[in-house]
Amino acid sequence: MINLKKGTFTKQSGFLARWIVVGVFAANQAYAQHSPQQPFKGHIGKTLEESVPYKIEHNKKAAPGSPNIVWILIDDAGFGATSAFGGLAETPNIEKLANNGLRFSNFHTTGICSPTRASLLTGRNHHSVHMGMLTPATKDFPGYDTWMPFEKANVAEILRENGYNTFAVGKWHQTPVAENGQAGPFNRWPLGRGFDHFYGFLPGATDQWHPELWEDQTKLDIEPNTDHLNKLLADKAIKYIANQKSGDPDKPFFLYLATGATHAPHQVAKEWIDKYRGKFDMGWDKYRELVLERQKKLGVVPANATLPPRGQDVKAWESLTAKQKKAYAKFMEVYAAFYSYTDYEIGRVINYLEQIDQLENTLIFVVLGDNGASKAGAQTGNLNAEINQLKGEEKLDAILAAGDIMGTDLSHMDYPKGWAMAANTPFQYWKSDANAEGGTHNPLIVYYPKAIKDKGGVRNQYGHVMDVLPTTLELIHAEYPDTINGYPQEPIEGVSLADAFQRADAPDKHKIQYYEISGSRAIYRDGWKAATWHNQGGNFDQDVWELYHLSDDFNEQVDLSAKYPDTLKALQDLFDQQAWKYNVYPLKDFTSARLAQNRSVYSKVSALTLYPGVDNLVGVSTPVYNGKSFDVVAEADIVSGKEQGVLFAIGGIKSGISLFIQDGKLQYAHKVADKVQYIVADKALPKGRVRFKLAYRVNGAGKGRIGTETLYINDEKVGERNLADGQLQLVSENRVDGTDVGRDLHGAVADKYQSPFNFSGKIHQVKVNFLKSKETASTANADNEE
Amino acid sequence: MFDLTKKTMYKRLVLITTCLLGVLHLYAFGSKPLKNRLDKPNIVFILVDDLGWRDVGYKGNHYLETPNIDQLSKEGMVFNYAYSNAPNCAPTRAALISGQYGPRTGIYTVGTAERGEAKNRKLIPVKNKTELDSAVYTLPEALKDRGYTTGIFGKWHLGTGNENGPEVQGFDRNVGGGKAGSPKSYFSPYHNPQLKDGAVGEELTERLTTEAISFIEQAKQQPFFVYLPYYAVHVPLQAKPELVEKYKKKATDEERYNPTYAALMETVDQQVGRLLAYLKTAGLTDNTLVVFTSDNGPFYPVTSAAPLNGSKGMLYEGGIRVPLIVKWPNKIKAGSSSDEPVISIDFFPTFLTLTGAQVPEIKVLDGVDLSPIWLKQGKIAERTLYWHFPAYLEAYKGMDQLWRQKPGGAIRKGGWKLIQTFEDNRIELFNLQQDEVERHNLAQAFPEKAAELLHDLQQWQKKVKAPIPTALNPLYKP
Repeated sequence: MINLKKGTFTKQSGFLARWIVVGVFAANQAYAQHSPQQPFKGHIGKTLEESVPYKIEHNKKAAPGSPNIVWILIDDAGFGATSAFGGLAETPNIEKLANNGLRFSNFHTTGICSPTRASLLTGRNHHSVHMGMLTPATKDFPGYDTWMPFEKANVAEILRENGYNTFAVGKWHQTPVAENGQAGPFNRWPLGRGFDHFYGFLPGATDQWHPELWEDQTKLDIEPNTDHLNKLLADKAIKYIANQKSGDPDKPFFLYLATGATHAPHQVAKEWIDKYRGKFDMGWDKYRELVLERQKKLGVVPANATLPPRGQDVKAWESLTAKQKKAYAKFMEVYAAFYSYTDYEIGRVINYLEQIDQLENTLIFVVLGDNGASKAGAQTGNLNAEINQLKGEEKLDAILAAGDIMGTDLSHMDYPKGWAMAANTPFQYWKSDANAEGGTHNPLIVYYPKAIKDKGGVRNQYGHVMDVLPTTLELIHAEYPDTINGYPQEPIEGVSLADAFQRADAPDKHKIQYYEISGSRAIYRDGWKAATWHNQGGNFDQDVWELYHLSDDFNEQVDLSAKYPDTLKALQDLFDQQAWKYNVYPLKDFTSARLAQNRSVYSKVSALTLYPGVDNLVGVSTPVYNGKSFDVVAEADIVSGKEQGVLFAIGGIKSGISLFIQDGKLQYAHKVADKVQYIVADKALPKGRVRFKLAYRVNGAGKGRIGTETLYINDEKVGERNLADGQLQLVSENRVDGTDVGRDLHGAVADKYQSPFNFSGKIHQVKVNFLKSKETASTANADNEE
Repeated sequence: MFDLTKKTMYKRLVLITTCLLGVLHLYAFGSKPLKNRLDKPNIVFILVDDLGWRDVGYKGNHYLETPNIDQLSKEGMVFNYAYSNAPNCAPTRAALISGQYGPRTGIYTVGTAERGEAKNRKLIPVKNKTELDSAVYTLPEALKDRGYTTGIFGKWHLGTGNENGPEVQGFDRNVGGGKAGSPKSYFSPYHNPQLKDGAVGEELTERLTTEAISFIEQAKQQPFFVYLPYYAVHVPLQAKPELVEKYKKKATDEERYNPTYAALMETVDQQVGRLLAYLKTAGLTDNTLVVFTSDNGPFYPVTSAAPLNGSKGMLYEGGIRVPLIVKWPNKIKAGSSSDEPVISIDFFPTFLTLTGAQVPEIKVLDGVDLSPIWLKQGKIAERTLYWHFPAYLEAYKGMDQLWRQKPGGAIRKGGWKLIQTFEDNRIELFNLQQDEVERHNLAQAFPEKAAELLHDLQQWQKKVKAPIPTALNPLYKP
């Protein structure tokens, strides 16, 4: 009994403690520059005459003349794509920055999206800030839980304490997926992580024509939209700058501009594609040769460099049929156009700075790719769902006939692997291969007229994306406070590359660097690199290590592991030591996560309840339906029997489902590829609070799947339809048209009504219950998804 | 007098506690029921394979020695009428993990339903599944979703790999669990793809216990669920030679006995003792619920369920009655016992209540929450138990019948039990209260009772869509 009492008290004190913690936490919420109450050091008398005021500096101001800072991060771009580094995608604006700044030729990323972004923003290793993998691949270990610690502040948090305004525009991909919804918590959203404003998208990729867009913490609905995402981002960046400078011209700003380009879907307006018609008929092998020569001329690769073998699954261009060549060349035309157009919009932001006389006082970093080129387009490329399903000649014919839709919102393009290889010239392998330079070696351009005298110079010092933050802080003489908003700060792990700004021959400061993504790993030390590619699902013990001397063999062509086993062993030990230090263990690969399924805020729940009035839920906010079985139960009052309208709808553009009442009947529409099938209930509407239920069932996986959809009113079956494979799609690729309650916004699912067809009665709630479903994401889709 | 005072004080305390916790509940936890929020006991679930109802010391077996299990029985609550969902391994495990009767998972027996010789099978039995569909929301998944760290150490027997292995059914760690229903060897090398070999000669039961302990050591700062389905005491019988020698020398009056079996059982007992001792050392005893049970009756060739009729594979009591002890200090009364008939599918709902875990609205759970009995908080509503076994099982050598079990079903309602055989619709009716050894078929004597139970059984078969084999086997030669 005494124990029981004790237990009670313990629980109670635990309860109090919890509230205290909550209190402290609330006070520490990092939403603005830290500004504690400070002692008044003047004198207060009874009247003003008897008193002496004391002016307190409530917010630290940046030193006069502090530069603006712009960090630009391009998504999924290989080393050999941009013309600034010898590639054949014309990027004149970026080139101009390089020609008036510096090219860093030996710069590295982590090898994939979220980890590179986490590393860039925090100046630390990705696992060290809990982002060892993509946000949808979260695992409850420090290296992988995606809960980036406040004790490892990011650039915005640090710059804000130095008196900067901070803006994030574009791709974020840093918030734990489960917290991407409107219930927050928001402390790991951009505004919780030091930014004054955010305009962009939360997940790894979005449609360029119909992007998922948030401003600050609010979901935007910009449809019907005709602007490309690149334009929207540039417009918003310019607006933020215009407003900020108009508010206080002396206050510097930090802009983090992370484009959705050039991640798939490769989408861009036709006039940009037209510039490249026929330009890539020479094929990917010739592309590599041409680009290697251009890279040598620019001095960004050694003069004696040669091309590595073509690599897995990539056919020699000459071995392709004429039709294959013609079809595949189209993809590169679109990709190059996409990159060029991205450069154009970046140019608009740069030109605006020039226009308002700020450019000369702006420090710009352009990281050209958060990882190497993506191989997700596989052998034959992706165009859209219908064409992707085709095989052989049929697919080629469809691609060649698809000229009009290429780049539009009816396409969802990703180039064939051969072009990814070319875009990665002169390296081998691809995005997510953290073992290989093809996954991690990306161009860096810096522009800072104040400190760079050697305009157009090339720098070969080894660098990593985590070095950008310490370099920035050193160049602008910023302070890194010991505590930020009450969180004691831990050291930055990157090193400053600022020395190399002044001196081409500055010694390498970044001497050790480990890499790990989905089990593939590498370790660099003083010009040597040991690396092992991990076969997904395989045993980590059986991975084979290779050894390269990057100082003489910068693109990893001569494996020295047999020749120098001791060096290899020493590097493996170093990897192990670094791995323990930075939370890399336990090793895991893509097979441990269901990426496609985990992209939604509802991924971890099997049941959800939606209420009338909720936003049209799209992107991260909508449940993932495809491939799953589920029940939808809408409870509504039927009073007159004349109620009508949509109870619940998903999608509508090209495909979707809708549960609605019309002509006194419960009805259901399922649209696939613009064809609509209906079920009309065979019973009349009852009165009162009625349960309208859809039971959607899909059995099996891949080809040969079948399904049923059954309607119930108050648990009595009132209609049913069987579905064959090919009739099962629920949501179309661009996912612009999401889940609706009480209406069907944007594209209407059914042709029996006009959108939005609001429900005229009272809906209490709509429940969606998912049956646990088989894993539907394959590892091959991992890159595509993120 | 003393007792009365104690009781009154206890009641008062409960009242105070309830008030305090009620406040806590309101402020800190929203609207969920209190018990669902506060306690997350660790769970250690020990499932011994093919361990007969009477093959534990506390049940009066004179030959076998199980001092640690006997001690556990004194520290917890013993169930005298605990049943497995099936008379053999895989279907009982499927029921335990899914919380569902066989017709919902399609797992009725081990391997094929067409055992024995074709010419002796009158019916074509129902096709059996050997893998638990990964679409099923499992007990470990429910616990994992509740924040438990989960591990399996031993026999899974419900599929393997990314399709149906423990890894995709809710277990964070899997040591030794795959599709196999028996060990290749009880000594390393094990030839088990899910278990790395230890030093040559290492014993399997010891190893699995070591793995479980080291998992707990790593996981103990958070609630954990350890599922410890030992491969023992399933054949092939192999045990430490010194223990086998000990039992070879031991005289006994048991009807059937086997020194290797006894030695293997003692190994299990030692390891159960070791695990419990570890929990004590680690300070985990008080917040750990320990369950000890088996998946079916004993293996006839080496031991016996006597005086119960039947053994592994049969719907008689000897095939489905299993030992069950549940221990949770200060919550479950030490040294208590219950005559309530309970069954494998009850664990799922019981654990939900005790841990506060929840399942999706559409998840079907066939069992009932036993926590009122375990915690002595009250009774459970009267309910009926069912078995569905639409498969053939051949007899073992030494049995005088052709079949251990022909396709059939069974029902236990109150003190009565009825077994239905599908081939000829033969009915056996037993009054377990007077005849728990099932020697007297009362179907003729109590036709109304028989009709009532058969009706209930058939209603249930309809409700769960239990497939009844009716197609005649063309190869059948009576």
